[in-house]
Amino acid sequence: MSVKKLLSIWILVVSSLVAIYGFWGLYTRSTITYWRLLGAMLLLAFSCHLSSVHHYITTKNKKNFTMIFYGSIVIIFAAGTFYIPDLLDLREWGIYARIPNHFFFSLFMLIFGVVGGYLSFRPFYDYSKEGQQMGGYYLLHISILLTILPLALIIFNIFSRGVAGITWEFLTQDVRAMGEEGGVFPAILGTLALVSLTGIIVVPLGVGTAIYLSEYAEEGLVVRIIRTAVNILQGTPSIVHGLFGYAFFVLLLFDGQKSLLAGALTLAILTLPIVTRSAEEAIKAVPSELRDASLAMGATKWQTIKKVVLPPSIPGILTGTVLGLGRAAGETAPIMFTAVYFTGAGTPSSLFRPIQALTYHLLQLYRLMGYRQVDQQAWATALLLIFIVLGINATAIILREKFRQRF
Amino acid sequence: MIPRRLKERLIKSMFFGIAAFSILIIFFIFVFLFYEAYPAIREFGSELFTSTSWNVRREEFGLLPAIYGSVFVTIGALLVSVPLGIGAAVYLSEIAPNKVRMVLKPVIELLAGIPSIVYGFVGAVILGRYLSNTFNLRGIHSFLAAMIILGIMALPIIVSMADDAMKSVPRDLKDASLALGATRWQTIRRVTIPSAISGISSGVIMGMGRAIGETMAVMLIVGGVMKLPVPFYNAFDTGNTLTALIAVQMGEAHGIIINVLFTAGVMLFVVVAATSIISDILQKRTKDRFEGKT
Repeated sequence: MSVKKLLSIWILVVSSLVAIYGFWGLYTRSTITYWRLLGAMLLLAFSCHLSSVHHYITTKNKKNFTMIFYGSIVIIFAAGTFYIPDLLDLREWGIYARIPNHFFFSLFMLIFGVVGGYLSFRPFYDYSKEGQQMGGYYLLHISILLTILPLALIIFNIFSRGVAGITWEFLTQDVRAMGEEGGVFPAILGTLALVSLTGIIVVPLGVGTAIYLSEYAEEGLVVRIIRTAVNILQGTPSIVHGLFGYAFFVLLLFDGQKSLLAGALTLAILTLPIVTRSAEEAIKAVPSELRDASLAMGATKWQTIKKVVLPPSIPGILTGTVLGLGRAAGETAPIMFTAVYFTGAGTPSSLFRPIQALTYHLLQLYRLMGYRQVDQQAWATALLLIFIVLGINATAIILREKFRQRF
Repeated sequence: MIPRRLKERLIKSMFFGIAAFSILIIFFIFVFLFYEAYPAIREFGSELFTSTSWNVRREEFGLLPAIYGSVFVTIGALLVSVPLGIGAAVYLSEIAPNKVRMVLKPVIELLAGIPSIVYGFVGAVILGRYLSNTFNLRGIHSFLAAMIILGIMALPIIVSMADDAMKSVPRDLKDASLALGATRWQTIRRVTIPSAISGISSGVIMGMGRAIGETMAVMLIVGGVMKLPVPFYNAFDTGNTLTALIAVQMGEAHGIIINVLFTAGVMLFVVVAATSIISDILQKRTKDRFEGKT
């Protein structure tokens, strides 16, 4: 392996270490001293300069100053950070915040490390377009990493803080002493009741709409309006669903009384577009030859739909429904004015009585944090909630993968 | 026994009835929101949208701080999620090996499935505390934390829609570029992304809609203080958004304030419906373009 390539790899290694050190500094808020920053940055700059000088000596090509330019910028920045005060007080500009210098140090190290890694591929491939490609791929890998990282951090944090609170008592008792004692048993049952009732209401509506759109309707104004309506419904903020549910179901139909049924109806409207869209996709995936064959044998349209079109699309419909119910299980805003109480509702006993639900329980525990000892309970509720919701979603995804591409 | 013809027609009209239900719901939502909002609009007029003072006891209801807050957090959220989301989508659609893609796609869908109340809880307790300690803020609430969390929440939509858009670019286009000697990276930058740009923007607009309409997470993080941030670009300050305002105030509201909150709901509904329609048009345009319908 040539010196040039070794130097490039060396720059990549140094850059990565600098970036990781910077990230770690940000993550743990650990103090990074000015001299440590200067050392790391100078090492990076020196490597870049070395690579550039080597390139010039071996090729006598005066055109490529990328690395020497970058190295110099790094040095200038590193020197400039000396003038950052220990605690930068933004209150002079009317902003209530004081930023410690090690925050800037970590941030600079992260940024210059990533850019250094991006550039390090250029000398490796002799400053050809190949080098640009590899640099681009490097950035793409970092963006996918940063997309996945929050998920990992959220799940790790919830799991490590919540797992101690999952006890037998927590799972089987009602909430007591404003959430400090007891558990979430009625809330679990409430969430399950809400989700099942939503499913019962939404499946006929969603599948019926999908059958009409894909089997009966001819493309035209009416279909376009229905599609637009479904799309708007899909985008509508959940709090707007909550307001509508409150105005229509609670105030108008149920006389101001929160109830399981009002919540389920609101959630059914929320999940309707999800079920409709996936059912339509599943039905459209059935090849038209099957329909034609059935119709040619003298079956009516309805018989064809019932016996030929629907059976193979059931897995797809099921997947969409389960995804929709996963969304319903995690919603708070649509049910907070229509269906739930924090305490006192008990296990669900009637369609027309209010219930308790896990999401609302978590909200109330969060509001009590700082006033009462509910941290443990709150984390355990969050853990239980993501366990249920992600469990539902994972079921849907597995179902879909299993039945994918049948035709 | 009903005649076969008649039965078929009955069944068809039954399905039409079910399908028309969606239109009916949209209509109902609009009518009911507007019906409940109207008294407030009649009472206060344009003051609702231009006044910055909010005082329930003196019956001053200026929604401007919440409107500004919604716009502010949405812009911040997009700054976080657009570059990351498009990068991740390019990775998934263009360079990820099939096996990695098969794992990562569901993982990103799971990211979309985490309930917003959990995002809000984690965002306030972990991210909020982190920012508060790092920047010596007065409390755990800030616009900055809301922007970051909303950015993370908008990511899955942007990633999956941009990924779909780039996947729908025909192979021929990419192959032509590669055959002319362009690298894959040049092809991505000069051919794939420009061809898929309407699909990608439709994803970004959907992400924006999600960020504007997100309630529980923002409500726990942004602070719920009905005031403009000072100075106006100060992301370290606390404030309020339309969604959070509704969620917090609705619980103990009575009288005219309920109508004011419904006005906020109407605004949200109209804005987000507009984003859905625009996003839909853009998506349709990509589809038509590659399926030969102009």
